[in-house]
Amino acid sequence: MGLVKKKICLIGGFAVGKTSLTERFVYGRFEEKYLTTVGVKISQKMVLPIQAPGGGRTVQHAFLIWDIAGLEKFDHVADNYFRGAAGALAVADLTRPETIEELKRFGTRFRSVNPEAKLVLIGNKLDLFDEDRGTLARLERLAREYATGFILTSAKSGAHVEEAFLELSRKIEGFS
Amino acid sequence: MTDRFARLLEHKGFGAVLFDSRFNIVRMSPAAEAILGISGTSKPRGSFLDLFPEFVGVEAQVAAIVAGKDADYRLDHVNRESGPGRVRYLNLLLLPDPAPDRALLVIEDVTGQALSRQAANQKRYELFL
Repeated sequence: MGLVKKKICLIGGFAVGKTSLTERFVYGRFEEKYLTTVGVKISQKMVLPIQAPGGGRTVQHAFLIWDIAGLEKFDHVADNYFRGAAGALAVADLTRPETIEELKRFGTRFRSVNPEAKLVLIGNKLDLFDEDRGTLARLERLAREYATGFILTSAKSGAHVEEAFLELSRKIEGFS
Repeated sequence: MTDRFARLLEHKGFGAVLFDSRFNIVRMSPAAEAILGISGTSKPRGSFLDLFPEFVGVEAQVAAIVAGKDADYRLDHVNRESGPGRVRYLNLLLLPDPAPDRALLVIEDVTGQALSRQAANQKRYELFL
């Protein structure tokens, strides 16, 4: 089994839960108080091994996770945050549907820097979500635009957080 | 790195790390050791990418700097833990070195400025939540 180091990014607007998802995945903890990120925080975590469909090769990723501040403008310095990433979790806040529209800005810029990189859309704060169909439809529509899927997570409860990183790992290897 | 440039960096409190085309660290200034919290007795002579995982994934860009093909590569406000609950914010600037097959990483500690920005953003964003 090959162990492969991959850079991945968490992108999206402010206060959608990028840092909370990273903290939950890497350290298994959740902080109630919102503290905005400046710049970028980099963490490392081994993802569970994944196997190609049909019992093919097995790969394990060591993710270098770039938790990037909710950038208001993009410039070459911001592009350098994205550069070299194999994939990204594009995070929206389910309780603020406008953050889904905002993801277009992030996803487009991320893809322009890394045309081959994989994206997985995340609707976070599932624990506060009232299952509004309009919100889900918007997320689904954006996922179709990016030819990818979306996962609903809660960094607070931990629901589907591991699954989100695992799905990105699979997409990077072309296993899903 | 010329002596004059080294003195300038030292005067400004910037750290400097010199490494080669195989990404091995050749030299590190005392200011860099202080910023990174590395003791003087255990000076690293290891892999540049181990000490700076920020450059994993962009090895080709780093190699272009070492070869003198690109002018610079910059990462701003990189968060580094500097103790329990404490973060340092660093600006990292990669430059070609006058010596062949060498590149220089200039490290600037911008913690004070970043904390001010953090406090301002925090207030502004909380208004929207």
